[in-house]
Amino acid sequence: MNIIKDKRNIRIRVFSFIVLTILTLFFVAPYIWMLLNSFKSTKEILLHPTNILPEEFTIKSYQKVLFDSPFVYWFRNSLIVTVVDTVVILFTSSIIGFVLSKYKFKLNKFCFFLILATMMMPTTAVMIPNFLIISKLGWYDKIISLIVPTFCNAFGIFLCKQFIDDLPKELFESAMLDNASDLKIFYRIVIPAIKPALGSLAIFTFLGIWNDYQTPLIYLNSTKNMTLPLALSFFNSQHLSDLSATMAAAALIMVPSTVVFLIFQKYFIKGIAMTGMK
Amino acid sequence: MKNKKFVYGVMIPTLLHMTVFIIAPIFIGLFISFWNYNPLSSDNSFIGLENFIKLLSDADFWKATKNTFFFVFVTVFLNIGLSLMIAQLISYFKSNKVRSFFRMIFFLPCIAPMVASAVVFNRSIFPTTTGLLNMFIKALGLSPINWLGDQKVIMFSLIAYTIWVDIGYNIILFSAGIDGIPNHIYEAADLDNTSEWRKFTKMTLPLLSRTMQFVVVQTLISHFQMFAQFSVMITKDGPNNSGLVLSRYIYKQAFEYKNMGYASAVSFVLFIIIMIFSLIEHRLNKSDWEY
Amino acid sequence: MKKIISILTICFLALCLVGCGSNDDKNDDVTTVTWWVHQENSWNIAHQELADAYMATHENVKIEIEIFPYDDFESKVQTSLINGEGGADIYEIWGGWGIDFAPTGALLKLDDELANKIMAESYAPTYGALVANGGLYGVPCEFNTETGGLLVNYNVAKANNIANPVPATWEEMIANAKAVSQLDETKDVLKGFDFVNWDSVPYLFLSMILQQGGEYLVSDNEINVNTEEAKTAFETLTNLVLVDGVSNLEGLTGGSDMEGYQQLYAGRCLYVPRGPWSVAEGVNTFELALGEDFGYVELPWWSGNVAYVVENGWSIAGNAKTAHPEIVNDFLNFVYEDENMLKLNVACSQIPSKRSIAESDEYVSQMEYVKPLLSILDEAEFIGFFNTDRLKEAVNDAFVNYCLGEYASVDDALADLNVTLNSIFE
Repeated sequence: MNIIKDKRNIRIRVFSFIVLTILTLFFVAPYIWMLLNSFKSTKEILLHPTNILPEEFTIKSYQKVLFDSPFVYWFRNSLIVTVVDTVVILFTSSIIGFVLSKYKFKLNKFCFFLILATMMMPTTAVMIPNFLIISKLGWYDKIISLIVPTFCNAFGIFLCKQFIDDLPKELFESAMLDNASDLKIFYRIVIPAIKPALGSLAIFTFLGIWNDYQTPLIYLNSTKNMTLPLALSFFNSQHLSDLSATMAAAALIMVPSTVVFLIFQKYFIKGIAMTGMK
Repeated sequence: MKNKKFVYGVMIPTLLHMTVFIIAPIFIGLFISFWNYNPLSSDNSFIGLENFIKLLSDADFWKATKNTFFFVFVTVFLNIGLSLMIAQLISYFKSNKVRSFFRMIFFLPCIAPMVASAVVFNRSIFPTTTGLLNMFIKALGLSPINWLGDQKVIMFSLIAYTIWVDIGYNIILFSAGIDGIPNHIYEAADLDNTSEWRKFTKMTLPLLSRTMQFVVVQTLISHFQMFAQFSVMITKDGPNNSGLVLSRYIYKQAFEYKNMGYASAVSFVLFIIIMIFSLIEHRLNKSDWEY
Repeated sequence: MKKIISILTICFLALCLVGCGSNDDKNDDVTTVTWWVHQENSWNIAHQELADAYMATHENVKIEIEIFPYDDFESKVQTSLINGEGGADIYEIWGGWGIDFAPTGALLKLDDELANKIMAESYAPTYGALVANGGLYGVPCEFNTETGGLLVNYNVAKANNIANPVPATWEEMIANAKAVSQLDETKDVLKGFDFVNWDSVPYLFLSMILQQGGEYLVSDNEINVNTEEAKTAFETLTNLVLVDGVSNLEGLTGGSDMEGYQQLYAGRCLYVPRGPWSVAEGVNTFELALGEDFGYVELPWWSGNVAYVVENGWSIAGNAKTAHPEIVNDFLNFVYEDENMLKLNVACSQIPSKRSIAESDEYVSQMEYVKPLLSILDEAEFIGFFNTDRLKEAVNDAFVNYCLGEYASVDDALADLNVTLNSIFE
């Protein structure tokens, strides 16, 4: 029986490998193209769009993005805003998800539905009202406008709640016997148990805020205070898009996001999720 | 666990925050839809339901709605199917390194800023004469397709791009869900030599139902609101508005036509549409609260 | 754990509150004013030079320039005007935005003396959108025109045995264009006369109507294109695509990797009618030689009559809620001076809105290639007091849809167009 099982294991793994590798080619190709384009001049991209390797390999665009724009400031701003926001959102999403999931109180269903409903409003529609509110609070042109509004994130709350819903009762039984405080239960039991969810959420939140271009553009005034995604269109003028610089900027912007992804990916390790079970 | 203090301590600040930053803007938006609103002037006229009535006879609005529905349903269906399949295939590998590698690959498109990748597709992959896709097609002896300029094809190009750029998220979510299922659950099935397909459909899927519900709702909601590719990848919403979707129509009305009131009315309609579909989806999945 | 996280968060927040500054408005005697401009390298250099020149003679003023990418510049300017205090003191604005910004009092009204000077000394169509409530709300800098100039690719002409690529008449131009056009997509596409782009189609349409002596603007808020002249114009333009085959619809429907004028530079078009701004890209990005590889010449007039419309171009305006209106007004006066305007116009490759500069030798000698347009500046009319983007969209949609066969006849297309155009005024 074991041999049959092993054979089947190998077969399924080979099958997976082949299918996934083919798909990989489709997924990676445009991305590699983006990278290759960042090393070409805009003229070459326009004139010879079918060239794969750059005719004239140049790092001029990278130099342009790094030195002709306040790149360093943007990097710093992005880092501060994104890290703070991500940490806060991880915390609030998990604790609110926990309360909504495991605590019975009158307005539980209503709150959950309300939170869900907030995800449904199209963002373009609330852009001006959001701006009006921030303006009234006196936060226009201040970094706080990028941080405080993101504290509660419907997506994160929903995600955490779903994962916490799945946790079996036994996990909490021992804690209830010990009469542990709610916060202790939260830290000792819930958080370790939903690591895959938190890992995903960290990645998504980081990405969402790191790549967010609209909000800082509208709320801040001085170019030095803006965040990294501004680099993408910074060299586009009214009629001309500097394609090469856009690609170089994209490549540079992707580096930290990739690092974050690699780090938090580790949380998806099979088996750890149910450590509470004895 | 009925510790009221804890509940209030968490929920009250939350609700307060949400009221100010999320709920208030929504109501302000709705309020604006009853006016002829230009944010710069102090003299805006109240026109009641006029904006909503205008909607009903606006051909562009209906076209956008039709396009949006088509886009959302096809894309979400393909997206969920594909991402589930890929996540499952990835889970068959024993080595964490291999799994990490593939997850990284499929997630790459999500990390890239959409503006940059949309530009790559717009200029290098989809163009009729010089794009990669058509070069491939011509090499096979077929005639080139006008991916971004032909009104019959344009939506499919947008769908293909959206799947490329968005599927990574769901693969990660499904991976997290699949990884959360402990191995020993399959032990009995393995002893019986159950086929992989049966294991997947009878055991994995049901255990993923909560993740699935989250993924479906979330994907639906986000796809209804997608905007970047419709603005960057196609020229002026495509020939005869074939690429026009509601989120883009809202933006157009608000910032190009400066009809903020009307734009808010359309937004509210979109909001209701999204809400209705989420409720439908919720009802369909009601079966899974206990297992 | 919780304590640590909350402390960390509070620290970060505190850092941020402190770390982001608000402008130091008064530092001893120096007043700081901000000027927002859009991203364009050569222009920004000129802007800075202008600011430096002003600061040199006004030691108590500091002008800080902020540069924003063009794509979001308008929404950025608009939201800052809503806010009031947070915005800039001086804005570089596109004239057309004046239609939305000026009547609401968001922009600073120019003092009467300057306003009268501008209106007397500038070409009329360059400031129409900046006029509201009996006052002028911005200083026009540019005569923005999309009609009258034609890009010609000499290399393409040579390769296709066109002996005289610079056409003297419209018929000659179309004949040349027909001779070289190859629109089969399975082979290399070559377009003879690619006028299918966002600006050229509507501008040619309106120009043709005027050239026949017709009108499209019935009054300040009514348009009528259900006229014989409009029908002729529409038919001529659509025939260029459907009958003469000198261009395809790519420029408006998409599907190409470059715009028409860029394709010309890449050797895929013979003629493209475009504004003078398109010349810079040929020289800088495509590294072609103006005069040898390509040229910018006069667009032959279809009926022989010269008549066309223009919209307002780049202008400079002040924020009505600025804390320093005297300084702003003074700066606007400074910008309007001949010497400064000239420098700005040349550096930004603009045709001047101020007549004296357009007629001066200094300007002409530095901007040789716009000569074809200078002689016809007086024949231009202001397009009208409405959102020009919507007009262009309406005309382009009608044009594309007719060519795609969505209308049974030109009359149907024009009837529809008439309705859409008039909805702009609602």
